[in-house]
This record gives sequence, structure tokens and C-alpha cells, in this order.
Amino acid sequence: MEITEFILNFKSQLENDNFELTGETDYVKSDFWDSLTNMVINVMLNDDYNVQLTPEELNQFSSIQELFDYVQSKQ
Amino acid sequence: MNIDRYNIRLQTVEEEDAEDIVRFRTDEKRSRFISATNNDIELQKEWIKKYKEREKNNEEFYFIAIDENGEKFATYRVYNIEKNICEIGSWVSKPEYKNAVNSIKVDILMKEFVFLNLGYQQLRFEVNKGNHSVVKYHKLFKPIIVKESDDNLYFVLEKRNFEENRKRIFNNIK
Repeated sequence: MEITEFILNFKSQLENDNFELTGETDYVKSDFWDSLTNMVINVMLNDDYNVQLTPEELNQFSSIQELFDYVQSKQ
Repeated sequence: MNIDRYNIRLQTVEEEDAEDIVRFRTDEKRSRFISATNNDIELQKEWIKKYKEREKNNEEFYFIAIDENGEKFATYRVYNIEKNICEIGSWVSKPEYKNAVNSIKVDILMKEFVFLNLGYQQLRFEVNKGNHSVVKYHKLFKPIIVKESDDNLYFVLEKRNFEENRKRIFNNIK
């Protein structure tokens, strides 16, 4: 899996795609991030990558790259 | 009426809840996508007094959610109750409330109330299109968009879809 594919999947989970996402994006500090988006991304991680995190754990990563690396390590 | 599940109590509102309801609904950030609410607490009490008549006739159910610490933190309402469908709305959380999982539990409890307690096979709700995270969250349950206006999306959620997808949500909050 490539990071670009992961970012596309991440972005497709958001209702609003009017912003740019890169590996460096600190999603937790982004305007779009809230508890419901946390849930939506968590369901994506579970459904598509078989990765299960608590909402608090998902809030601990500092970038999409860091989250991607974690997901990769679990594959 | 009380519903106790998942360490949450949903309790039908009383006049004493007027102040909390006004505070939840008039917070600048949280109220952007809900119908405007007057900040007069006495007016809210009057509204609740009339609502209690509708509740008595099983025409409407307006709940305030209380967490495991006794804190009132959200509201949710069932209204437009018809023979085969009813509507849910007024899902608003206390502005400074941090336990996001509890807010999601309230949504699940409310949908369970409609499907299991009231016995409906479907429910409807509308969401402002600008309320992106709420739109996307509701879509996790695979509702159907039955209408769209400039501002809103109108959804119908079937009981079957709710039950099939509820586990996906619970996997992440237990």
C-alpha cells in the first residue's frame, strides 16, 4: 500500500474535500477534525485495514504519515 | 420516561431542563446548523410545558442525556410521529463536553428507541450540508438520501441498515 492511496482513502471519508491533505498533515489539529470525523476514520481503519484503535489512540498520531506507518506495521 | 443503556440515561425533558437546553442550543459553534433558539429561559419553559402534553399523547419525545457522573450533556428528540415513520433531530451536545463517545452513544440509543421501543422499521432526519462530520457520521449507517435542498440533505434510515452497521460503530467505542 502506498501513502498516496491511503491519503485518498482518508480524504474520501470526509464530506468536505475542499482542502489539501499530505503525509505531513496534522489531522487532529485540522479544522475538519472532530469526534464524529474521528469515528468515521476509525471505521475506515477497521473496515479497510483491519486496524482497531480507540478514539483517544487515533488522536495521538501527529500526522497522516505517522498513522499510515502504524497501519502498515499492522498489516 | 427513562432509557438506561450503555452507562447513559435518556430522560424526557422537564421544565427544569430549560436552562441547559437553551445553553446547549445557543452556543455559537454548536448552533450553526440547528434551528434558531430564543435565549429566553421562560419561553423555553413554556415550550416544554406544551411539549409535555404532546409527550403524554405519544406525539413527541424529547430527551436529555445524563452521563455516568450525573452530568446532563446532550439532547435528542423524536417528532413528526406518523404511522410508518418518524423523525429524529435536535441532537445537540453541551458546548464544553469532552466525552465524544457518550455523544455517539446518545445517537445510537435514540435510534434504538425508535426501532426497538417504538417499533418503527424506518426513521427520517435532515442534516445541513455544511455540517460535514455529522453528514458523514450518519452515512456510516447507510441511510438513503430521499431529498436534497440547497442547504439540507434529507435521509431515511431503515432499521435493517441500522442494525447491520451499528456493530461497526460499537467496535470503536467499547
